[in-house]
Amino acid sequence: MQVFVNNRPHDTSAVNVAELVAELQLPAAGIAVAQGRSLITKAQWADTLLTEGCQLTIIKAARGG
Amino acid sequence: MFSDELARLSWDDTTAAIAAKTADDVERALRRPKPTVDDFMALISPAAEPYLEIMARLSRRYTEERFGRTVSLFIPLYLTNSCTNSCVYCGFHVANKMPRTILTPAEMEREYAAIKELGPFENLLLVTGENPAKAGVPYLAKALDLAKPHFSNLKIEVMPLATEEYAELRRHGMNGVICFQETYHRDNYKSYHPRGMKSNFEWRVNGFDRMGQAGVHSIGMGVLIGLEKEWRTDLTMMAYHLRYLQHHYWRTKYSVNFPRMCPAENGGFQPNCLMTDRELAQLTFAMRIFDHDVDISYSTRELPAFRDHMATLGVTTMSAGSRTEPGGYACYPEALEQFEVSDPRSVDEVVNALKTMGVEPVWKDWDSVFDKHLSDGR
Amino acid sequence: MSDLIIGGRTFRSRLFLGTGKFRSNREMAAAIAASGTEMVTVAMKRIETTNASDDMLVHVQRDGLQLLPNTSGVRDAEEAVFAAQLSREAFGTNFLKLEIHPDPRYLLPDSTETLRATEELVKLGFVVLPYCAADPTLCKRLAEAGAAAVMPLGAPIGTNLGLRTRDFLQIIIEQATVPVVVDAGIGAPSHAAEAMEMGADACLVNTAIAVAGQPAAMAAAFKQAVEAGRQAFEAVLPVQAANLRAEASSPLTAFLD
Repeated sequence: MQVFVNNRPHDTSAVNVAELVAELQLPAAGIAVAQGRSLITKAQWADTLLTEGCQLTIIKAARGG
Repeated sequence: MFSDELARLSWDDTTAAIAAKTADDVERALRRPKPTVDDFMALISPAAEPYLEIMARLSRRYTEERFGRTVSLFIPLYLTNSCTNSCVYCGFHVANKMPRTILTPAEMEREYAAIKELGPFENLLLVTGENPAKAGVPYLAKALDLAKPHFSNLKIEVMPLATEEYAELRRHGMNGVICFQETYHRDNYKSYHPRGMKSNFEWRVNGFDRMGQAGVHSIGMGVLIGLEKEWRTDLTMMAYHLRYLQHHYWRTKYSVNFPRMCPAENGGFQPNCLMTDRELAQLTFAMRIFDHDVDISYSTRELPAFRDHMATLGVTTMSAGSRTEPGGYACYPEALEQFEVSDPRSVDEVVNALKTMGVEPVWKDWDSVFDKHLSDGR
Repeated sequence: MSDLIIGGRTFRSRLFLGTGKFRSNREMAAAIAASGTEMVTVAMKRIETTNASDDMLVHVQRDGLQLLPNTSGVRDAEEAVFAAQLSREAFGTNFLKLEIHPDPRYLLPDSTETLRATEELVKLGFVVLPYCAADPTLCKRLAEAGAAAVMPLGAPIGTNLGLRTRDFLQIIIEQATVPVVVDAGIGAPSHAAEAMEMGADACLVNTAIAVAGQPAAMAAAFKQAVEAGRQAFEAVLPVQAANLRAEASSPLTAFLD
């Protein structure tokens, strides 16, 4: 299905957030996922099902501050 | 609470440190942009005596920068002389056989009117003895309510109260509290105040924290000079207290008083030390150099010429036309006064003297209209 | 020298590092090591799905190094709270550098939003270190709201102008009830030393190190400057000479004779 990650369309075969994170080859630590203004904690990743067109924000550590 | 801080300070070490201050210590203190309590100790020490003239100049400069060439005028009204305490130095001591007065509301009104006849006073200080049963918080609230239409800044000088009591009186328009610790010497305190609620050192010394917590806008402090021989040490403790309160209750304005006992005339309590005029001047200058912002207040205990000169050199608040008997302005002008007034000049005379010295008397700089805590919702 | 405690954590180094503006993660890591710092900022960015860049975090995840996530980029309190929650999740720490600057040109902090956000974030359990104007009253309010420290600026971010706000920093330091970290504007080790001599509890330095000719060497210089400044402060600096000569006119104390 197609989902939006940081406003960019992305085709994925993942069914939940945990699978999506793995698919994107993101590091285990230092990232956070939100849907709209709701944080999806790591504990919730496996249980959060993706839906067609859903909008996710995924952030990771960067230099700065 | 401050009693914890005070317990960490050694009276004897402080006394020794003051005595050991040198001219170098004094010069360093005079140079430091933000003097510490240690600097204050140098400035009130005997070593600073030769520096009196330069201290006067600095004191005048800092006072003018912060306050301009003005002095704020206030008047005290003794509402009661009924007291359950036994302060060995006080004319209102519980055992003294004398007529005791607790002004009634009607008498208060007469006193307020009489005060307004003396001068355009806006700053009023209500003073009572300690009789919580007959003249406690409800009595004070009533006095404040009746005073509010006539005076824009109301202060009280009464027994230490609980936090909620200070908050309650604020709601009735109380703007400031004055409370003299009398002495910070914990052990000797009891010998001067042997009985009654006033004998409780902790309750009194922590009263200032309670004022701060209640959001009291202005807090006045004082040591009764003449109780402890080592007045320099006592005033150093007060300086620590001032810094502590400024640190914890930063929205509050502070004021210091230097009530100086005279030798008793008729066999009453004899002071353990007599502070000279030069020493009081030195103390005043030292306080001003130590703290550019604190209000320094002189009462009518001091002589006219001394007050007038010091009004140009560091003093920023003075009383005038004072009567220290309850109802002394209208109802009971013959009653026993709490302390002898050494400046008996009329208000007009004081005002003219100040103007001659180049100082402008200020009647009001706060209006209760601005205070959101008044319970009548203004 | 005395230890610094912020948010329940003890710091032996009073130099904190910002990790922005470095040319590379490698250069950043070298500077961190040379500085001896025990706390570095980290930012958050949105991931690119198409190109997985080098993971910055591995370079700052080492024993003893406290991460200080930064909300930079948000423009109001509401955005800051959301960003804080993301950062807590991502980095596993309650520490937070609260930075709200709606003006993208000078990056000066929004005092009103910063105070509101601090109040909210403290209630949510964060250890809040707000970056703020050198405004003494604001710093008192932030401390009252529960901030773990205050971080007033010396000069605008990235300007390297030093302690332009020194008069106000002095007041803030004098009145502080929480640690004071001078953050932004420190452009040279001498600026950091000056801040420490004044009594600041720590300095946060970023641009001056990241864009120096040799960042690691500069970081080492800053390390020494912060230590020297703090040591001088603890040794109690002598008072500077001032003119104490009495003026030649009639004495003010004649009335006492």
